[in-house]
Amino acid sequence: METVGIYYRQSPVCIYQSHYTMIKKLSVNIVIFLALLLSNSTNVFSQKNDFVKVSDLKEISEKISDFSNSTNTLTSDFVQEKHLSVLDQAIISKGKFAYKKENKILWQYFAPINYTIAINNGKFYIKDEKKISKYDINSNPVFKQINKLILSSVKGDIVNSKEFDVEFFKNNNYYLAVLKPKDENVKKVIPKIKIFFNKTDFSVDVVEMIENSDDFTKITFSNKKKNQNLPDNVFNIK
Amino acid sequence: MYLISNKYIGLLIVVLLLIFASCSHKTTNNLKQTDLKFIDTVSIFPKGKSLIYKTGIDFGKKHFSGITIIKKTDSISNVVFINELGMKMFNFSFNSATGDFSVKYILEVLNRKILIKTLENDYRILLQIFEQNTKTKIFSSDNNKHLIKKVKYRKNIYYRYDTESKKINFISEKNSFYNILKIYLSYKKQVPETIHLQHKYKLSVKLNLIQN
Repeated sequence: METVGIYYRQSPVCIYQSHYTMIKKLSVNIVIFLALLLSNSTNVFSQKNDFVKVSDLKEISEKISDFSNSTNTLTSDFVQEKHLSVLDQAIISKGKFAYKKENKILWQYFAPINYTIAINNGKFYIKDEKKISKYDINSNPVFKQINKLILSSVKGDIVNSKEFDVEFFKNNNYYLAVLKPKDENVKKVIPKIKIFFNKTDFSVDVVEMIENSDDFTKITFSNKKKNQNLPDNVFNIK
Repeated sequence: MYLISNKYIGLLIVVLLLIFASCSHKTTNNLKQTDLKFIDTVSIFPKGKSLIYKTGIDFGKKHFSGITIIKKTDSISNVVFINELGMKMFNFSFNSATGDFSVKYILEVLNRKILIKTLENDYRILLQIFEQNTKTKIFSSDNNKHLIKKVKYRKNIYYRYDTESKKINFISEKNSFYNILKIYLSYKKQVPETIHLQHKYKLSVKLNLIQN
């Protein structure tokens, strides 16, 4: 009642001004609301494309496990893109990848430079031209986690990972696993990893490692061959 | 015995004096300061281009490798080092106008003051970015084959400009007595193709151009 009284005591100009102010405030609020809605939807689309979250992980878990259990060896070609804010274009590297159960991995880079990385028997080998550097994976927490990440990506045993918080999304072609490392040291280096599993055979098509500064590395696998004969000495760097 | 020792000490002093005398005159001997100020504008790296180098670092018996990206501009210049797996190891930034240096990112295991200071110094010298009011002098050799720019920044830095190729092909950093850093450069067209940084203390960095 008091408020009404105040209104009635106001001149029409005042009432007009009050309404004008109200409408103006409302318009501003609508514009802000729309902007938020738009920005939110833009985020959703830009980040996950048409991916929707998968809450029931049972089916994914089983299929990824099936792929892992039935894979003794895996070879493929790969293209690695390194996107850096200081670069006008991404650095593109190409090479061949090989995996053998349980934990043998080989990355051979042919372009633009030649070098080989091998993980074998708990050791990390890097061959640069003729020089070979050897590291104990367990001696460096970041190497250790990267090794686990690579192995988990290939073997697919990430659903119940103790090392990462995992969320799953899906669209028509892929299951997308978004991994966040639990270890603080690893989180500082790579806070987020995206793994795109091919929906047809549950092999990994793409891995994206996103850094704090939005710089990221994208590795795309192609020409994948499963369970071909792969002798152990392929993973021995000389 | 005493006399022999004195003889040797005398000889040693003469030898040392000769060494010091030759060292102190080695760089500036036969050189005259000129007003060839154009050298100040000679940049090792073309501006505005991201240059990508395969990088090998040897420290004692240890070998590290990866890729270095160098981008020089009139405002901010960056040096980024990534390892073979594409993991970023460090990202340094220099303000080209003020000479300010900042660490945008460094992997925790590399976050050591002495390492950062060494890398800052190396890339500052290569990028030729110094704080304002840094004193420079320019000399020319007698036969005019080379021009030498001397920059007084922490230590003395000498840039050797080859008048025939019109490029800086050698840099040295000296303390009072000897070279503590030598940098050898070769070029492909207007871009440094190989850069070899040789530190006095068993640290060697080799950069080979792979993309520009």
